[in-house]
Amino acid sequence: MNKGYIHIENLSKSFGFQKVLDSINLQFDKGDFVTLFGPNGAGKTTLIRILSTIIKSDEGSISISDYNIKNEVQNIRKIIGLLSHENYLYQNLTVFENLKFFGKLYNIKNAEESISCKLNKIGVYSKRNELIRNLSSGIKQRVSIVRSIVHDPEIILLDEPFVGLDIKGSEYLLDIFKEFKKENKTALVTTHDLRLGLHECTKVVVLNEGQIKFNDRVENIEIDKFEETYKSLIYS
Amino acid sequence: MNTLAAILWKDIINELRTKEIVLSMAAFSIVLVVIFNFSLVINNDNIGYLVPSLLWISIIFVGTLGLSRTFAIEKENSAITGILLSPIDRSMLYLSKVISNLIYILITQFLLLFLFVVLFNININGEVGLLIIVMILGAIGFSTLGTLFSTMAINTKLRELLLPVILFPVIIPVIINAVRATSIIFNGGGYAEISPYLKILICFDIIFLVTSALVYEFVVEES
Repeated sequence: MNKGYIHIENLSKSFGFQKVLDSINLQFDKGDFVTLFGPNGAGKTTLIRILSTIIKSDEGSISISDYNIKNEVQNIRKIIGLLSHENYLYQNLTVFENLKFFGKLYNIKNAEESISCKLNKIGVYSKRNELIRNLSSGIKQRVSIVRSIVHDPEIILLDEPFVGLDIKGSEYLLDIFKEFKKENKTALVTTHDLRLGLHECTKVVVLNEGQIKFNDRVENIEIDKFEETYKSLIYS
Repeated sequence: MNTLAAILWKDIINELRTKEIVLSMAAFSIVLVVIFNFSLVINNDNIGYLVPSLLWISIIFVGTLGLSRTFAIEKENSAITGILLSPIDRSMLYLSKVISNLIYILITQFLLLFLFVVLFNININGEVGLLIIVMILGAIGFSTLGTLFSTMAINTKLRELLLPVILFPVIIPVIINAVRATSIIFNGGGYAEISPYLKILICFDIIFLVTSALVYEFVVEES
């Protein structure tokens, strides 16, 4: 069997007595743009955090770009970017200082030019010299988006990226998604917004109570009827 | 080394802007020395034995306060997770944290020494260089172990309470030898008398630094 670019096999994770992920099997190809839907507590964030190497699974195996997450974790970290609920930014550093700092951790070349370009794309270049603590949550979220892609990762994991973004911010993010697709990058996005989630995706996965309830390519889905399908999957 | 410099730069810039770590440590130092000055009867007979103990007790109390603050900054917005997502060597993160903690501890340590010398009228008998070496070796031991344990305590609810409970028993060898060496200097002794204590301090510093750097990856990844 051909292994995918991201290969997840029998993945399980519990917190205490609560099983959050239960024998998950998933496979994504390079360039896949996957939207992960699911109600609160479905296990979406846990899955994203395991893939990003922040937490470890209890059982199962994951390989990303042929690297095994257990013993080649540093290689995986080089090619993964994560946007999470928390922004991971230092309150008392400016936007630019934060991004330059995170850029240095990845040894990126031409950091200033690359960061300025990304800040422009997300519409916060004018805020580059402001301290994070003085920014609104929406602007922080935009800066955090730049932080997650500061090293031009091959794989981007976005956990509810639209939260806190205004219409303009969401448009900027969708433009970035288009760019990812053009560059054949792989993305895994979690969201509750069916419209935004289906916008650019190539594959849809529905997770509920730690189990995969739906996993198919977008061309096999009737977009207009997906809301009904989704409701039947999570409320049945 | 780039990583180490980047994390150190970030910590120093953060502290220069907020001044919350060094200022809180300095304020606590002043309060402690003033309380000691009013509550204890110190004369020529006991000054050489009592003041070194008080000095090092103050250093570990004030240092523990600083350690808690350094990691509280990393917890804001879960910023440390941003660092852990990157492929940096975890020992570089550890070393940078040790150096920044060492800088904060040394600053307040010399403030404490100054306050003790002035308020208790201590005569160091010209052995300032030796005293500085003892202070630095003691501070290295404290910050190497303190950085490791404060990382362990970072995600616990009672981290301010837990940190001294797990740190103080292990740091005892460093403190005992630092107190003895300081006491000898305050009593007019020289290098020959304190050299055994200096050697023990150097040994503990190396042991703490190497073992902590080796285990730090497991501690920080799980925290």
